[in-house]
Amino acid sequence: MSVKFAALLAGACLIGSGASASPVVLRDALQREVTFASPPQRIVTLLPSLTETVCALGACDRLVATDRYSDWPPAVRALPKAGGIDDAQIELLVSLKPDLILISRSQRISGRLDALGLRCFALVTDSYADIARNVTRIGAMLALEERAARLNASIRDSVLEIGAQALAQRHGPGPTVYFEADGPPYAAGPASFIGELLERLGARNIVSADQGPFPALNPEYVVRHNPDVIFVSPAEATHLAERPGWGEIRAVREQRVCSFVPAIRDSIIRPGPRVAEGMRALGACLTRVSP
Amino acid sequence: MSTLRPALIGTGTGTATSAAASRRLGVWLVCCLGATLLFTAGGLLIGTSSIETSWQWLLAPDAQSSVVLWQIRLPRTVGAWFAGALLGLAGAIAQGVFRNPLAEPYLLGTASGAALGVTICLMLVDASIGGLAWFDKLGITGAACIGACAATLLTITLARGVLQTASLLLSGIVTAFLLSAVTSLLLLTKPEVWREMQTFLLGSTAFIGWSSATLLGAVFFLCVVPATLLSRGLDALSLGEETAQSLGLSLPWLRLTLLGVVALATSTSVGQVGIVGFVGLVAPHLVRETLSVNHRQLLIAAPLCGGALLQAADLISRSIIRPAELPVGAVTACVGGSYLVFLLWRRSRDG
Amino acid sequence: MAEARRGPTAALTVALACRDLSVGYGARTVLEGVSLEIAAGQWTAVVGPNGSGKSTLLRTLAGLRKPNGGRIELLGRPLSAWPRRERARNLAWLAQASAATELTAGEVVALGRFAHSGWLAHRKADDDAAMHRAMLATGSLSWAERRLSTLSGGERQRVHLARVLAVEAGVLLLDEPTTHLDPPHQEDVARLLREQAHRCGVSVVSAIHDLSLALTADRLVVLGDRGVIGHGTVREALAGDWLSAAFRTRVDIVEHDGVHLWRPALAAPPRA
Repeated sequence: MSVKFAALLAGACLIGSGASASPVVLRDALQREVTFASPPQRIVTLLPSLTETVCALGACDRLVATDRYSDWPPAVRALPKAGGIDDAQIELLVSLKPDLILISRSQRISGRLDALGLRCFALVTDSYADIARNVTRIGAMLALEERAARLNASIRDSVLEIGAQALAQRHGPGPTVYFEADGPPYAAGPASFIGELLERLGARNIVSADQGPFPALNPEYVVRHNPDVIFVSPAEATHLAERPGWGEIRAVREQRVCSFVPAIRDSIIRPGPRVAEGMRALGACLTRVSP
Repeated sequence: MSTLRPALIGTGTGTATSAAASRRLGVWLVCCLGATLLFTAGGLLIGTSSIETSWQWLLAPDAQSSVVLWQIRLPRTVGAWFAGALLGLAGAIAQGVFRNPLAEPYLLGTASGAALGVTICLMLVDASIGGLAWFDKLGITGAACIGACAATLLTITLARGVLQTASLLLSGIVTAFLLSAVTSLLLLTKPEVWREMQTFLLGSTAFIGWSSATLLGAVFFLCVVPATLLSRGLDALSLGEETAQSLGLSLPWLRLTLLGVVALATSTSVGQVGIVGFVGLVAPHLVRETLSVNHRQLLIAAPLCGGALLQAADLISRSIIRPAELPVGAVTACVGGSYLVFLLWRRSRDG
Repeated sequence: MAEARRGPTAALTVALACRDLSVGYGARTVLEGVSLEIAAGQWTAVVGPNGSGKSTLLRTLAGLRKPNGGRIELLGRPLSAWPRRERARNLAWLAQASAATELTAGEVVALGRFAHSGWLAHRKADDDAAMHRAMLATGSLSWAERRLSTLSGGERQRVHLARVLAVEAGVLLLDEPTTHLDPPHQEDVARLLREQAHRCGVSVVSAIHDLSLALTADRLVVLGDRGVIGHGTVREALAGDWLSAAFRTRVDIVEHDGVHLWRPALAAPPRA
């Protein structure tokens, strides 16, 4: 008797929640409260990682436009392009009548979009922790909370698994690495997203955390710390020995240099749902060339 | 004729003023050389290690510290000197040819040309267009150099030759704007390149090795010799263009040769250290403010001053936020800008 | 104490000549159909109202401006046939206004020897001697080590004059050599020019706006609206009343102790 009553109650609650879902109110990265009375159906994303997140949540069909650099999954390439990070095409945006525009905190168009009556939501996309947070929030906005939770779990599990694998394949302390970001002399420090991934793979960054995420290093520093593995862009990889004093670095002498084609590089640079792929690529190269 | 021998005009037995003037010049030269030695020593000791540690390395070298001292620090500081000397020389010549104390080496559009060359190089590097391996070999250095020379040629062509100073100045400005616009347009299509461009635009002495330093040194001597030989022409030019012509000077040849030297000096420097501003403007200015010199003396003193300046800027850029570094162009902008502000203040004070 | 000057001008009677010269700036013609002969060993003064083309004429004769039409001959040869340095050794030009420079007076005068000593400034004894003579004659010897910017306008003018004299050219073209000079020094310059002409055989042509000074020269070239009103000796100029024609007003010239002076006509109003 009580079981039947409980089932009825549960059923009523379910129906009730479906019929009158309470509006979701979220505070975005610019400290604004944004209300979602119903899940948005026409979404524009102006950052590649946000595009990937929306699609990973299975809401790709709700996208009406992306920025010009979004290229994954392949389906989004056919969508109209609304410009880049700083030069979004406002007219195109207005003409598409979206009911949600996802931007990053550093983009400056939020004021203009607000003035034009378009709802936009700013997100922080800098670190590993932001990935899970953004997945959860976008899931909440789109009323896809369970999928969001599943996605987060799968990302987390993959990352942990890759980290554990890397640990298992290693003997002794991890290799010291130097990751060059965006050309010399900028290095990726532990405080950056890439730095976090490298740390999870058990690598030891020659840059210390107090130097900030992307310090412009004196090249001498790299020579003195003699990293075991160096990550650079493919173009620079062939010229490393030409840099004064770098011929003596262990990684250069023993050819322990990793470089990635732009496609893979993007998955390492952009904190997004494909983080596990990026980490896998990092780990594979690291294992291959480590001493 | 011996009774008419003046024994006055620079033949050695001078009056008090002549001796004082040469003494001041001598003091100045000694100071510059002393500063250079000091900064070179500093260049060996300053870097990512503390000065005491570096001193220990000098006394008891090992493999790695030798590399740091002799392969990285010494060529960097020597190269910085030559780059600064090239800029100082180019600035002094530009100020003489244009008869304008505010002229500087980038007047002919060399900076924008170099930036465009570097942009094209960086953009083509990732592209899978075949047959551009030679461009890759050229590297940023070569691309910057070629871009700078091309910009100078464009300026001279737009001005229809070197006959008119005013049209050269104007076409230099036009070239600079034109090429910057093209650079910006190209960057729009591939903004990932922007960060590397910025490193170049702000100037960096970080990767000067012995090959770069030798190149800079060779070009410096190649430029300073013809420049000092032609210095008398600059003296004549300072009296006025028509007067110089009436004295038997061929103005077009003089200008072409001197501007060629400026272009060579500037493009070499830009290719190796990027765009470093103010050194070419401040070095000759500083010399003229403190000494009274003719152009032969200026074309020797200004490079010495410029070299020491850039060496000092390099030391500052490596030591302020150790072990990270500031772009050396940012340091010269701060120092040079302050100097110009000081000049303005002094001028307004003197009425 | 000045020794005899170089030969060429003494041998010829005409140092500098032009035929049918026409000069203009763009669309504007300043001089047209000018035919002149500058006598050797004489001091010729070029006079005329403002804008009549005195400076332009001197510039063109010096080869600094290309004429629109006509021919110029220096010492019997066409001007364009002279190699640059050789021409600079035989023809010296003084600008009306000199640019500011940081050089010392001695260095400026030494530049006058550029056509002789060239780029390397390897000065020989006669270079030094010429410079010394020139500076002595203009009274600028004591400023040899001083920067030009520290001298007054008149002192600078004398240094530039010394530079021109140091060239030891056979033909001197001077554009307003007495600018900034006080009357005693103006007189000095006039005497110097006369001496150069008569004793050293130099052909001196100077544009002078001071009529009294101009009238102390040997010959006059009087410029008017579009061309030469007349050229000849001073006596011929006065007889032909060229000055009145040039200046379009009554120009009062009086003779006093053998010297011709221009007297300001205060009594009668100027003719329209």
